[in-house]
Amino acid sequence: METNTEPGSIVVDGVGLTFTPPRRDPVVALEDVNLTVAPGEFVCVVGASGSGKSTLLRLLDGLLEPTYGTITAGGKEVSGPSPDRAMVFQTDNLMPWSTVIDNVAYGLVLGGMKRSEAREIAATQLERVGLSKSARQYPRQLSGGMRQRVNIARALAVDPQVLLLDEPFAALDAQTREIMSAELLGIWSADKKTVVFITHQIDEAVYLADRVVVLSAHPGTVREIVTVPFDRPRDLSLKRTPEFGRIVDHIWSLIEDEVRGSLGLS
Amino acid sequence: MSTATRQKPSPLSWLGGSTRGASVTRLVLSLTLFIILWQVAATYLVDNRLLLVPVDEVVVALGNEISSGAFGKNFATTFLELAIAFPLAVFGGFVIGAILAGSKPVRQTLDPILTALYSLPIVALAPLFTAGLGFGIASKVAVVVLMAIFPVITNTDAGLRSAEPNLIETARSYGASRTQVLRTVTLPHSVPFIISGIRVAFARALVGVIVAEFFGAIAGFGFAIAAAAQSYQTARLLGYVVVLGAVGLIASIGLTALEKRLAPWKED
Repeated sequence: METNTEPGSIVVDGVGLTFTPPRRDPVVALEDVNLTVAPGEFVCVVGASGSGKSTLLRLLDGLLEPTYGTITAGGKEVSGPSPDRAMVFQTDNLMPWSTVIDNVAYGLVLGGMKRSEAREIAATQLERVGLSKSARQYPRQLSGGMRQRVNIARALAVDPQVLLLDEPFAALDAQTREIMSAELLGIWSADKKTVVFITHQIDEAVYLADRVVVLSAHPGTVREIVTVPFDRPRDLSLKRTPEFGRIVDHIWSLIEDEVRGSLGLS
Repeated sequence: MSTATRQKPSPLSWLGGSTRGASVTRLVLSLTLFIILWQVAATYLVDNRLLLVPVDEVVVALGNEISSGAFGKNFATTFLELAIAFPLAVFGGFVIGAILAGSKPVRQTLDPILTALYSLPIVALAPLFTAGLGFGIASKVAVVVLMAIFPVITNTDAGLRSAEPNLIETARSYGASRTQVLRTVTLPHSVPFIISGIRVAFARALVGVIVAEFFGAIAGFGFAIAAAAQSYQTARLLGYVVVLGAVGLIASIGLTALEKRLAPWKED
């Protein structure tokens, strides 16, 4: 499988993670996860809460270390965060003390680039997300949707091969979320970066992804990987087709019991 | 009709604004009000001239102090004591606070001592320092440092430890080293905490320096106030107290400006 060593590829090989909190029982977050993501592929991960979606993403970024198994990105074993991969968190996590442009330049400056140079690249990325005018404002002066766009621009600025997004639009209202998803697809098809996107919205996952990874909970493991057959570019009318509904229903049937279980229903 | 409020803009809304003109006007109004209240109280309410005298007499007494050179000498002494002690307290407080924030065992061990010392009225030790370190500035510096250091310690410690875990994780995901996390997340987060610690510290430092001078000094505001009190010169005493109030006010305005400069992201 030579594609597995190409830049932008990810291989998760027999990975498990058990948290061992002090003086409490260990928690098995992920068990025997296997997943291969091709360069430039858009993969969504869905699952009930407790299925270890966020844990998986943090493993891919290198923020967490697997208890067993290996993760390779671009053919190299992941041993910590790397500029090859950029993470977009659910909360925008912008530095409140930095202006918008300096937030976007953050990763570049950390990597040792001169601030003036980093700001130039940041300005280009801000323009892409339509926020050039807000460059000198502070995050608190921006709306939630704008802040999340800054967050994405910050990730794009380091020009990673892989974008890791952890429910990036979950805190936004439904209309803003639709627009942001479409914008993200636009950016992805222009840059052809590998994207791993966590969401609890099944329709969002099917709309965005080439493949949807369905995780089951307790312990978190891959239940099924669903290939999404629709051509690109896709537009929002796709969501009203019967075929779209059929795939969404199938994925929902895979996790429905667990969602009910997590609510205490049976 | 919309239910949105439609009011005529009142002159008070300008006064409540954040323009420089508005804040200067507010300050002038507030000082004028204070002087009027004082004058009314001294003329109609308080007969006892040992307790309160009219503003104009205080101004005259202060003028005499200035022309005789006594004010300058006292000011220089108290200023020197604060100029040595206060930066020491701020710097020392920051270093100790940073050590506490950095090490849980150290923090947990020292916490009872610090809590006890912080709640202790340090000024109660002032006579001891005068006895041990003499009438010169050393005893005042010691009292001021002890008075002022604790709020800086606790606020630095709290500020450095309360940075959002989300932001730290974000920094780490961009490959930040421990030092980079400190420099780009923890420190900027703690700036407003440290400044409000400094604010409390300055108020305590003023109390400390005056009380320390009460218990034996060669010069200084506290010395002058004690001397005026012993000879029943209320106007002279109040003159120095008014200047102390002004110093406190100026320091507070200065710290607000410093905070705006160092932490411009903070909401008003």
